[in-house]
Amino acid sequence: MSQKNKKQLRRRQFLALMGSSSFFAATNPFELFLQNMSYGLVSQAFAQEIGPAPRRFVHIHDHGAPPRWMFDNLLKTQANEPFLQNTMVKTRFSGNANNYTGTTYSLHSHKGILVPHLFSAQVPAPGGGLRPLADLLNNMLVIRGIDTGNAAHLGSAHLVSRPPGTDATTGGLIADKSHLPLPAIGLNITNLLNYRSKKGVSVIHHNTQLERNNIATLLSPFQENVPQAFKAKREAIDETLRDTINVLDRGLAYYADNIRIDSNNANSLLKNGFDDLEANWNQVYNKYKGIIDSSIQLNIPGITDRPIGVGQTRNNHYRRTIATGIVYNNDLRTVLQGATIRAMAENFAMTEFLLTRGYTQYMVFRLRGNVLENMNLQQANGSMIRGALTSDQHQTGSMLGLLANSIYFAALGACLLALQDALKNTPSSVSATPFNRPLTDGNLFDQTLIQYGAEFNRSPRQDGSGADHAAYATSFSMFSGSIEGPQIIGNIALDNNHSSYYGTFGRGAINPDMSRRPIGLGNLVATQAAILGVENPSPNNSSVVRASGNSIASLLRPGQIVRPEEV
Amino acid sequence: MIKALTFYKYNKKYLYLTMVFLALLSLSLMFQNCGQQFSAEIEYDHSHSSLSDSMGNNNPGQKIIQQPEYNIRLPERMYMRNRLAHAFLPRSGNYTSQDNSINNTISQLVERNPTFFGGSCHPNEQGCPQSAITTTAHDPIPPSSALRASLSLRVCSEILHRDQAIINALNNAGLSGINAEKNFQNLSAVYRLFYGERLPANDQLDQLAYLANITSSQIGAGIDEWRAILLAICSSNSWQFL
Repeated sequence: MSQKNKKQLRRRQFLALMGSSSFFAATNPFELFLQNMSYGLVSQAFAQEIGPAPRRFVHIHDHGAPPRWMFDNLLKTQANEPFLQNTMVKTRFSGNANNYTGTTYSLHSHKGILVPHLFSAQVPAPGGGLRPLADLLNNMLVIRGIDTGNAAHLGSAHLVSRPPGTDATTGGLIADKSHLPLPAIGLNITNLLNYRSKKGVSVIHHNTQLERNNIATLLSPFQENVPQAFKAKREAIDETLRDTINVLDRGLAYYADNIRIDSNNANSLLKNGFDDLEANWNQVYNKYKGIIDSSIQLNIPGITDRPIGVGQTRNNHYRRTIATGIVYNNDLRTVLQGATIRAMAENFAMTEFLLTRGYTQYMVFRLRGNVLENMNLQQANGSMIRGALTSDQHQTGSMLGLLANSIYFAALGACLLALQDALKNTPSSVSATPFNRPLTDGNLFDQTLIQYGAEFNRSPRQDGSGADHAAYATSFSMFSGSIEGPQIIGNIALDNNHSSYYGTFGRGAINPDMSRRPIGLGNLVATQAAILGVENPSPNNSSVVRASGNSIASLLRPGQIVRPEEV
Repeated sequence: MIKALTFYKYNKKYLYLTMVFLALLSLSLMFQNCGQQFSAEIEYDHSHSSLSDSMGNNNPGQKIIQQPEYNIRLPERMYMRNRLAHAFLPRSGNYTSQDNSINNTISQLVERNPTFFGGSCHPNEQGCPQSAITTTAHDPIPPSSALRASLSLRVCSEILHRDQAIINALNNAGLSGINAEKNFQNLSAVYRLFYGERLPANDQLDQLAYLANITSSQIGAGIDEWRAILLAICSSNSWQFL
């Protein structure tokens, strides 16, 4: 065999080897490993896309952070728990048969859980009459003892909606999955809200001072201004026109579904119009306005059923703010005459209107930063003025604070119950346009998460003169038809170990079920995500609840007050 | 195997070639298009892509929403304004009162809505408007929203109910007026008022001609046929994809 033939042979041998090695490579374990790895990654990527439709989310942000120990800041929940009293942390008035002269920490038992005294009250119901505020507890879950890590109002508000380490917000993630025409709406919250969608779905901000016609403003882009004759002509060829548009858009990339959805939603709203908008809006608005007005005049045992402070020396316990000083009304209850709560009715009416008619998936609104406005205030010289009590109650004394906050929370609780009623009476598949897939069976309250909270809670001054920022004692209340409440999640410390802020008021403590950590904001958004049915935006943190179908239950042992030696 | 090892022992260059081959094979496996490989297992929900399909066609058993994760962006207000003006206003710049009305409609619904259509305010732009309702679309290339979509549809209708807009558009397309034939060439010229150098497919031209026929039978021949054609083209979304 010549040298050339040897080379040719070797080349043939080489090619044969390559062929056999290719076969080997296609079936060997390494290739299978690569295939499985690729398949796993791809499957995981698509698994994030595929899941149950998200719940709707109503996020109520009470900016200014009013003290909430008389409402949903649940502290002592079991009779055998230790509890250290602070002068500010009170839930009802105390005194004699004729007059309230002081305050006390009084609790009411509901389903074996102790809750603040206010929950024993009856609050206004839609259409007149009263109902137990305690009904709110049946679908309520409280997550407490969170440290936001920032004691500034704005900074903490931003962290609450988007903690560090998150790549999107839960509101943005459910908006991404929504087919509703206005996936995310924010009312008066532009500067406070951290919102981030992965797909670039906009949140629509409504930033005017809320007035009675605000729904018309919000929906005005869907009201066209064309002659009736033109409308009639367009209607006559509508089906062919839409088919033609679809044929022209046929080349639109498959990933541009958002544009198609938006266009179809917009067309549907434009076509249907809003002829009954004002009448429908007035009906909803008047319902909440009536509830709130009645709440301000409510006779609540232990709060407004007797004169308050008659003949008592006026001191810092009766202070409204440091600027205007002490309130000298002989009977403190008279401060409520003519008082109002700003924008609460408008916010709740907008929420009910847009949710129950299937316009929006995520609704976030800000309560206006004042607990009461137009209060009837007597000054030291006997003159009367009208003034507001801010939510940011650094200088608000224990007596005035308990009265005004209790009234405010009675109104808020009544509005929450009315909103829940409306959601219960709405099927979960409701949609303003025909492009939304059905969610799940059941009513809209089962398929909605309502979260109430603020940027933080408050640290009470032991001298009863006010309460400051407590970023380390933040709590949130969640409501849903899928929650069987009351549930309390998160341990809190018995004592704050600080002379000015003495006692039990919600400082976060370690949880044995969470690697001996307090609950963090990452856990909060992970919990929201679990309930809403979207991916966890804070992958380093886990949910504190298990959400399965129409059941939302705590993964931790019930929250307790923990002694210092256990912290 | 022994034979192969012996072969490589005496033929080092083939050993190197083999190593390079195996390395390339491994790399190709890593960069293969796995999405395509598993595409049969992915079912995108396209039912909403057609209005007529979607109307009353919800499947109660289907409780899954699947949407792809892409962040689609659309052109800003000045592009939109210019494209609409390019189609519906005289190129000469000599505006009649009707033309001024068309111009005002474009301005009010598109140009003066940076919160929906994006595009920053210019330093010497008089009173760059901020609406009572806004979106996160302040960035130059904004995302889609139903509000923007609504205004996009509205601007087409609120322009095209005026006959002057149709006359202007046909002039701008180089046609002889409202009696111009609805042939492929003329339909293509009107299509390109919005789509620029992109050419329509034959079935799209067929559909536009069909729309003209339906309009003729339902409403009447003449200007309304071109009105319907222009309304369909203007209301389509694809021309906003640059």
